[in-house]
Amino acid sequence: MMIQRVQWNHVLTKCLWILALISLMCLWLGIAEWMAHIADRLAGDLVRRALGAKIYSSLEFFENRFQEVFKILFLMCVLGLIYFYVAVYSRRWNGIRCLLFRVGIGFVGVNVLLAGLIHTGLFWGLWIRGEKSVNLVNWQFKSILARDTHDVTKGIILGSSQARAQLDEELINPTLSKRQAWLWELHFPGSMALEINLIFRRAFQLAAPSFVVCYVSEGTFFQNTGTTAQGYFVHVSDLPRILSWNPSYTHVIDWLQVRYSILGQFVPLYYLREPVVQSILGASMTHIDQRRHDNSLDSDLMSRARSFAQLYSSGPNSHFQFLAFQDFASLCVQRNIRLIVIQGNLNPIVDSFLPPEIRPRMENFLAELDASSDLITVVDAQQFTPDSGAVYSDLTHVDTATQHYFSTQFAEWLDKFPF
Amino acid sequence: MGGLALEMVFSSVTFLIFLTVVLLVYFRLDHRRQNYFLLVASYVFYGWWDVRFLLLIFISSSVDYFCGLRIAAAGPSKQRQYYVWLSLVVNLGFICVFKYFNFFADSFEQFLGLFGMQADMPTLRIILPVGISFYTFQSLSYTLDVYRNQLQPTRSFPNYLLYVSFFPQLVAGPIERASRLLPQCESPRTIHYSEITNGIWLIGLGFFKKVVIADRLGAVADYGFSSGLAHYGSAADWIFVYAFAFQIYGDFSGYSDIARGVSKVLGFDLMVNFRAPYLVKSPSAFWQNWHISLSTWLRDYLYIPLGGNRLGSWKTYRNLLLTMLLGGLWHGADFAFLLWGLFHGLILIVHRLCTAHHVLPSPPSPGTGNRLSRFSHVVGIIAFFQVTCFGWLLFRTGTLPENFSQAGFLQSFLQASLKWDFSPDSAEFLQPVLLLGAMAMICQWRHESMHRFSQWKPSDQAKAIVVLLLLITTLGVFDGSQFIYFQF
Repeated sequence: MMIQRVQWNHVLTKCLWILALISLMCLWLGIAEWMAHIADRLAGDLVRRALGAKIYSSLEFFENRFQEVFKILFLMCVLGLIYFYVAVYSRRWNGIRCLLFRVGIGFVGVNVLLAGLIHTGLFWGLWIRGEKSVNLVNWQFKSILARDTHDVTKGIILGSSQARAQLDEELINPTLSKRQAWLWELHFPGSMALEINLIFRRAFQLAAPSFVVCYVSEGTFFQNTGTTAQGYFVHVSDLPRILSWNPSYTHVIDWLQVRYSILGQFVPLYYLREPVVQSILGASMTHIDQRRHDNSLDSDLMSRARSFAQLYSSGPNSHFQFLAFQDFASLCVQRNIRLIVIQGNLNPIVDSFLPPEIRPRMENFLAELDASSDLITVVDAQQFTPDSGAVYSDLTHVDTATQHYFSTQFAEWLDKFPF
Repeated sequence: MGGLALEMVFSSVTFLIFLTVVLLVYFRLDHRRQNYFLLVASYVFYGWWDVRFLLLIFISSSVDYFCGLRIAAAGPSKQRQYYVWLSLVVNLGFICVFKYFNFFADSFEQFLGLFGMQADMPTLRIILPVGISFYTFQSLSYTLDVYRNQLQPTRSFPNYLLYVSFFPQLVAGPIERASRLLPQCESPRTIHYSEITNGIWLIGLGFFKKVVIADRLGAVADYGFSSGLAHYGSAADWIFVYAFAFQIYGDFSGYSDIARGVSKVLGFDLMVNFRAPYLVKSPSAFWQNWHISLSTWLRDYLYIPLGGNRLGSWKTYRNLLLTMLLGGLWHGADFAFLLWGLFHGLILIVHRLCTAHHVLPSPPSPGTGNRLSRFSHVVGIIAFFQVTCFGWLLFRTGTLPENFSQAGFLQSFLQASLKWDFSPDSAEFLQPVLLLGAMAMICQWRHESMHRFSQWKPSDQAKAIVVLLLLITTLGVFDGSQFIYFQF
């Protein structure tokens, strides 16, 4: 009888703990909105200044973050309870079985917790390191901010680092905000058409945009270089579709990166490899490949342009990239999303070294795309470029003054555009 | 986890699948079939690199097996010598042809060039069979032991083939002795829970050392050495040499740990190949902690037969120098390795001289160390680590980019090292090198405890493995990069 009473006490204590936790969480949820208002009053300006065009409303930002705190605490409590029961359960076994079970539970538990955390802006905000932030962190953080914004016509900018160099969301959004619209720049360096396709799918799941702005140039279709974007944005569900475009072109896919990405999809800890490496080992480790590449570049821009142009060719890779872009455009149309494609350029000094058939092929493809649907609009980048021509800081990226002019002109054009 | 490349390296998915299949089948077989199965598995493992390599290892093993039997049968007659010479010629012949022929041909050509003579020496366009230096030395030790009556020859040809080709240690050691591994092949194996636990831990630890410590620091070292170590133009460039020192430790000791771990799971016990090489104060202690299987091989089959330290000071120094020169050359056909061997030979001699003349302070006896002696102990370790790193600098010049000459590179690097000019930029790689270096040092400092994992508390065992998995998953590099010692 005595033993039974002790067990009941034990259960009662646990129930009380759970009840107390649930009450605390409910209380938290109840006061979250109220606290968000206070936070907005106190730190709204600071947040708006720090995050700039990344957020549409600081109040909404605080509300969402307070809700995230609730979700994180809830998840931690649930996992803590599961761990408690599993730890008791595993005492039944001895030897290797117990060890493997505990290791498995520990590893899975950490990954489940992270699987929950990676859907919160708070978590990604922790990894922001200003200019040195890992590309994935920037992308995820902005996507989540876009996801959490309501009552506004949402748009996203896609493309490679060229898109980032041409279009500054800080300059475009003030104009757009007059029309209750907002634009998030979700570029990923090195993106070609396939990566744009994949990134759009991930961005669509998160931000559900009404319109997409995509900056393309010869590099989007004809460049033969690897990119790390595939290592994060390919999901298992994408593979049948990618393989169905043209099975004979699958050799152009970077399968190593695809495997990284799929592993990251199932093991969130692995997905976080770059931010973790940067936090523990420093930014020098995550940028080492880029720096080695930069060091190997020719100091003479002309000879650099010559070797850079050798990376461009028309062949299976470009066919595959066109198919990927076609698929991306079709998806936009299917989902009633307006697609604005800016037909851009590289630095003119590269043009003379490029194979002559490349530019016309891209222009023809984009013209056909433009004619294929009312939801697709192709605009020439030249119309947003200064009369004196764009000034480039290297072979692909324009300087800040050109970016300023381009963004302002594009914002004015977009302001009149029906989306 | 594991790597993602499709090559048969320990950090690849291919190897993980291979190992899973091997384990699933292995435990269902009796001892005799286990050996046959392991032999087939080992040949599949080696043939995966290149099927042609199998012929080489088979010939080498067959000749040594035959020679072992003939040496034992010959009794005290002179025939024994013929067979031991046959084994030496075949094994060293293979190494010379596949590893050193082009080096010696090129060197001879350059030598003649010094006297204004031109010679068009033929060079062989052949690939270097992976692990040839390891298994050849292992196989050779068998005939030498039989010749010296230290071992009875085995009658079982499959067991002998398994001894030479046992896949966990085939391509990068440890170089096992027949007296240790052959009996384990011949007698039935009992597998204990504690050994499996130790094995799993060693595999995890090895992976950690390889994909976290070695491959991360490898990127730093490659970055520094690819620009000829003239990144900062000051003593700060030493950071890249330290990165390489920890990389090579992580890479090689990581491989040895995985090899030992896999073997333990299979019921075999391989020798410890690394202890705490960067926590020592003298070159002789370094070689008692670094690549122990090679250093003991060289001691037993080269240094001692040459006379060791029994023939007076000068001959002892000569023997040390010769042993270390050949030890350097064992690593590869390059002057950098020869120079590295020469350097280690010289510091062994200098250390011996200093010890003989009581120049160096004698180590404090256990339990009597005061703060001062502990401080001098730490200073000694740091000082000798710097000496070791100078050796690694010589070693690494063997794999410099083509546009750098080794001598010119060393000269400019050492000149720059005299400049104590530290800009904030020069600290950019300090964080990864310090952190990963500290991890490598902890692995060495606690190596005894790491090798007794089964004696840990069960809850600590689980926590340690989870932490290791978390570190491997997040900090690991999974590009399937090969182990450095595969090229040797």
